[in-house]
Amino acid sequence: MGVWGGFFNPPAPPTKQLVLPRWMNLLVNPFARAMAAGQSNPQGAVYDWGTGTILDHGLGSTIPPQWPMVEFFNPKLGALKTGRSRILLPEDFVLLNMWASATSNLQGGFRVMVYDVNRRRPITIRPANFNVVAGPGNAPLFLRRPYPFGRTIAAGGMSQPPQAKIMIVNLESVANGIQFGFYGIISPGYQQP
Amino acid sequence: MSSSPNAAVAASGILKVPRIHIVDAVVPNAGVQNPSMTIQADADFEWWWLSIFRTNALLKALIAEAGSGNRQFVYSGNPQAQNFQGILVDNLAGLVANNGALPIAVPYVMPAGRIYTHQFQDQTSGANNTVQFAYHGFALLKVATQ
Repeated sequence: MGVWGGFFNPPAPPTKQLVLPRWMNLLVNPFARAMAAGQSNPQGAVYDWGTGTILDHGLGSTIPPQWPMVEFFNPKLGALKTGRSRILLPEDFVLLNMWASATSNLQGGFRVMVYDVNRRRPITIRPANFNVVAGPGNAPLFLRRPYPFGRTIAAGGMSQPPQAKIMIVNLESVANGIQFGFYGIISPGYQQP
Repeated sequence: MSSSPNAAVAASGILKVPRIHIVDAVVPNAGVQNPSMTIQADADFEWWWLSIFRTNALLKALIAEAGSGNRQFVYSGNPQAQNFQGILVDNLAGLVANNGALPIAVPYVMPAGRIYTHQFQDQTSGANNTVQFAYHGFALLKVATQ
């Protein structure tokens, strides 16, 4: 840029402030922007009209859909207590969404950590308030890419089925009835596109 | 002019007829009901959506597919869990009217004539709990191709 460069080539105007709110709107639901009808009906947008699923057209199953889950309900998880459990998964389980509920939700309900045991990878990096990772059945957040948990592996001389380690921290000052689980299908040989 | 309403849609040999299978029950306070759903014999059923009505959220459900090893739809991932009564129905799905029906996401074909058993267990809601599951989808009707 020469002496007159700044005069003849003025710097680009600053980014419009509206950009960020626009991005945030896209985060409401991964399917909200997938279809024209998505903004008013994000769950309807899960489907590509008449052609199956927009999750992945190669995904299918001849086995019923699955809701593996853990719960602290009978009895409930004590006030401010931490509960540890795991979800043993069937072979070739493919995760589509997570769901959760708490009978008490005045202080945030509970926080949850999810960890893929066989891959040794955390799914939540830090404990997450349950409603930011999962809603009940009328408001689940579908993964944009289905996640295959894989098959049983050999670990330490023993066979170890696919499983997720779950840690739940009750944030309430009363005993809390908690359910947390996965929704998915069994799809042998599925590979992410 | 054809005399069959299927003539114009028979190219694939399958006509997807909208169909809703219903399971309903009145579950007494702290009680259990075990209704079942039989897929209509005229066609396989391609399941796309689940929507649920209940009068009280304190209700748990279990679903299983009979005749194929009683495959469970809902199960505890913790093998040490005791007294497992199922998933709270609100964690399965909500109402169509509230835009809360659950998309199955990967449509599942339920064979004609197959039976799906349900167990509804009221969690001491204090009154009778009226529940209805609606399985939305299509009957995969085989039609003659021209």
